[in-house]
Amino acid sequence: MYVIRRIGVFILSVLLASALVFGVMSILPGDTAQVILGTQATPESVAALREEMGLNRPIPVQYVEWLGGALTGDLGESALTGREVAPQITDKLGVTLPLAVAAIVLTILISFPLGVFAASRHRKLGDAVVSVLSQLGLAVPAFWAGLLLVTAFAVNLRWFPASGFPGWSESFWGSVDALILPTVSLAIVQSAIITRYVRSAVLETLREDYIRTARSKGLTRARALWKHGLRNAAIPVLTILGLQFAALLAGTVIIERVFVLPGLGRMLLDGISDRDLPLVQGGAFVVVTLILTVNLVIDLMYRLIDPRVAQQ
Amino acid sequence: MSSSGPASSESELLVIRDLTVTAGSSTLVSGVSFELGSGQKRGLIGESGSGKTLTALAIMGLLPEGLEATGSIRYEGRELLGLREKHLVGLRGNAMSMIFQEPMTALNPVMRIGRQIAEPLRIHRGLSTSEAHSVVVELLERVGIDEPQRRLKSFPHELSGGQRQRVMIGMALACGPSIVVADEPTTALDVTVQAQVLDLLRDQVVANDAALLLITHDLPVVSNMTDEVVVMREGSIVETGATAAVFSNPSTAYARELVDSVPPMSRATDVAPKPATPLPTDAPIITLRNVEKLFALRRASLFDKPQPLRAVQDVSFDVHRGETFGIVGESGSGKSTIAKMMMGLEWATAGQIMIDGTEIHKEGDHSVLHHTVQMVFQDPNGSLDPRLRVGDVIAEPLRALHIDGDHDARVLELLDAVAMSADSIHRFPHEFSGGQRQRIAIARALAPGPKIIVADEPVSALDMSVQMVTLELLDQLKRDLDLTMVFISHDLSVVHEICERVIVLEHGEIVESGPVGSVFGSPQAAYTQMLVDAIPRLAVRN
Amino acid sequence: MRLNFLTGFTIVVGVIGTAILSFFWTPFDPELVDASKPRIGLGEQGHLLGTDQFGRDLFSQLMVGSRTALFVGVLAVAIAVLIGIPIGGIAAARRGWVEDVLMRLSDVVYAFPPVLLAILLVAAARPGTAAAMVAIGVAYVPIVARVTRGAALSIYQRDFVAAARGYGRRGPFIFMRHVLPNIASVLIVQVTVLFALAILAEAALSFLGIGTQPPTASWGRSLRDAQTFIRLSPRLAFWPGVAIATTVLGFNLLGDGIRDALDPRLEVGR
Repeated sequence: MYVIRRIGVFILSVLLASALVFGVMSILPGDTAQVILGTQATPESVAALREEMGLNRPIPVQYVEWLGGALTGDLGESALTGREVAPQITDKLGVTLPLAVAAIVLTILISFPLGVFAASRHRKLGDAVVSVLSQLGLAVPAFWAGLLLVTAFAVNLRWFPASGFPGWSESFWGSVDALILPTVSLAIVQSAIITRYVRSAVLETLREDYIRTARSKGLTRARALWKHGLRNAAIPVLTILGLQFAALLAGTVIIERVFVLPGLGRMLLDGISDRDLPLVQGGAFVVVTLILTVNLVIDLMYRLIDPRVAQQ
Repeated sequence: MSSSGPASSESELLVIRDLTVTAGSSTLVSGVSFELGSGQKRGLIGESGSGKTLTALAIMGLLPEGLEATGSIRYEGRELLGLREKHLVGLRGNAMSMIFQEPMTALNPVMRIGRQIAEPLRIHRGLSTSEAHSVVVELLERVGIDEPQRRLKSFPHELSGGQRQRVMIGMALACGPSIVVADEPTTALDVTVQAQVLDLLRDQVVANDAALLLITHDLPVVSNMTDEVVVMREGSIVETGATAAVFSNPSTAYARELVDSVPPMSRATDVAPKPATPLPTDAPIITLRNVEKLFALRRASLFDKPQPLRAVQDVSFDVHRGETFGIVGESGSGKSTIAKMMMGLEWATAGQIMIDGTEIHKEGDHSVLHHTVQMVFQDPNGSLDPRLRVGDVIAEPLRALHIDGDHDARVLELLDAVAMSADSIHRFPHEFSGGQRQRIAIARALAPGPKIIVADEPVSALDMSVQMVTLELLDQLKRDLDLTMVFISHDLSVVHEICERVIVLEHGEIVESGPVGSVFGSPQAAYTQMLVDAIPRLAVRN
Repeated sequence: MRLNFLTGFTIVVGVIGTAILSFFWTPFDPELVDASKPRIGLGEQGHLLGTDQFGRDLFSQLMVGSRTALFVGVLAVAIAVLIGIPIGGIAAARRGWVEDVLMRLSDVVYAFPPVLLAILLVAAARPGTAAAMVAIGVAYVPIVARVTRGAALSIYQRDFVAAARGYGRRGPFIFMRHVLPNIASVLIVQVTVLFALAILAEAALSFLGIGTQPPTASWGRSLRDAQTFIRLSPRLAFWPGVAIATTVLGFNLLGDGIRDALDPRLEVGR
């Protein structure tokens, strides 16, 4: 069945991705043991630690061991602090995930109506206006939008915090407040992209033969589009939403720096400058797995919408 | 601008006067006027570019974006052009409905057909879902769909082409319209299915007391289905009148040309059996022995065994030098696969194929094959690379096969042989008409000087008037260059016209073979009989 | 829609011109640190856009920054195209399991956004323009491969490809002579879009500190530096962003314009 096949592909992809992550990290010139012990350490102690950590074993063996741990939730310990990686990641996800979800929701709320509106005003002023706005939105880097928003709303108007994140348990509403400007920054760019896709999906669908058939049965253009076109138009839009999730997650990594949010992005960047490889490895793996999971969900949703998919 | 015609036209159901359709500055339809009376069946005939489909769409108010219609279309005295959409929707699907050409794209692929058929009932008759349900079941039965209760829940892609078109007919007649507009309703279907669907359409139209406007390029079909006909060409009406009269005695040269292009076998007059030409005694130039071709289909899941598709099963026949050999079958019969196997574009999974005395294999040198056999394809749009100039298109085989001699001269020679002008070499394929592109394709096929030409539906995509001319060209070239021709088609009357011997394929197997006159004149196999019976005949009174 | 093309073309030419010009002339030496005039305002003392916290002329910095943007754009897109087109072409030509495997691999790589790949690469190797280029280029290979495969598939179905096989042409030749020219327009549009994306990606990486390193100028890094002074001189965060947005806009409009020009006119029915 389609579902089983898709899940199988998912598992394979996760494995491949993990191999990629591990593989890239393995060709590094740096040395984890060195980092842990610091620059003052003697070569003997470094060598001893390497032996103890199993860093001298062949790479495939290390990979399998790491992978085994990863699948059971153990991503090793941070080279720097010695703390376990997995709980740290879970912690940071508490910032990154709500941000990503909020950004997607806001994007959908903006872009779907706007895209349909633009399609309905095709060749008229309304479409042109939306077109211009979306072109501008596309061109703007999300982090620049973030900086501008900070200047306007946080520094000058003081409506929102410019940086920082109190933590969900500390202050729920304070945390929400802290995520508002970042969400908007991300949503601006994403909305521009999705609006264009919604618009073209609607226009494409309007040209389809079955819309003409529906009209020949007595439906108005609008009703034909609503009853027949929507489901069909949803397919390409779903595709692009899925594809954009990867970009969105990457975007949150960047935005966290603008707003000084203690999310995954910050953790990864700190990990790089600290040369804390297990941390970076674990974090990257989680990010990729998240993306692949979203793709899987989208593929399964296709199955719900499009009956032809099941037959493939 | 509406004009008052003779008094009788005021009582006609549909009156069209001076209909003109423009797209920007170009005029696509101009000055079209005709009437459709209650219960009348009228055909609208034309080739591509005649404007017949646009006329139909204009009547329904469904012209594509960017096109404008002017003139007058009156339904029961009420002017339709310029009517606001909210009034038009009351008429569509209710008083007037339309059947489209391509049922696969005309039906919503993600909606069950039961819902799609129920739609006009719910809109115009205010039926609820459950009330509509029983009506839909009854409709499906009426149009000949078996197991209607189960079929209700199917999606369009789960039905065959013929079934989809039956669904379209059911949908169009659901609310008992007084006018049914059918745009090429059976062109995309196999000939046996076509006959059934047309019968169904006629029966339903009569049963519902509806008027029919049948749009098509196929004269025999019009002759069987309609009483009156309108002939269109390049946007205007050329001739109007009673179908029988126009076909027996056309008053315009164009109409006469159209009637003459119908092959004899498609005429209702008794066809004198074609005399069988004696079988040549020398060794055949093509031999197939027990040839089989299996395609491995994708598995539905990891657990199923791969199901092979038997495209060709145990096929054996000979083609002799200098003859025109026909291969006839419907879609899925394997005829195209056999054609490709003769060319080396596909390879047999079992059996032998010998071309000009040599057995051909997947491995090994194929250059002899390329020199000996060349193909003319069906679609003149797709068979020429749009990025290459015509001169290059024809010269490519010469270059690829490293043929000696002056390529430029040879290209000009070939163009001349297919009656195209020398300056064509600088132009691109899209600058030519379908018939001309097919000639270019023929010239390309002849370039390496092959002994065998495999023609796979070479005229099926062409307009009728061009078909005959192209066939004559092929025939003449065959004689001049001493070629052997393998002619593949689903169109029996064309095969009857130009082939000497024929094989009939069904689901990859040969069901009958022999001289064309006896195979079609007195078929031995039931399938062949069915094919012959399904051919629409032009009723011509002499 | 000619407006799209003209505007985009003008902007792109302007940016390229600025980059070239910057090799020969800039209003001030972009690297000249002058502690006496930190963060001067617009237009003061001949500095068109003012100076940064070290007294360096902002406008000159932006001019030089355009070099980096274009450089990374060209090389990243080149990598994506040189690897992506053959992959997509082979997938379309071979079909079957080859196509499946290639596309699955492609999907896995696509799950790594450029930022993430860059993070991995930089953690493994060393931050810098080279890492940025490779990370961005590799991250975009799947896009090029998918687009190529999609467009090539429909060309491979056409009879003129079968005809070419019929007179002896082989796979690679058919791809170069028949398939590529017919998908070129789709690819060109895709390339301009990728260019725009690559510039955005480079800016993002430099902003994070893992892209272009000092002293090489980069718009993204200018924004990074500006962040520290956001309260004091928000203007410093404004102009580099304008440079990025304008350039990206230019490439996007250019791509749209090309696509509109090459779109086959909708054939009017009979």
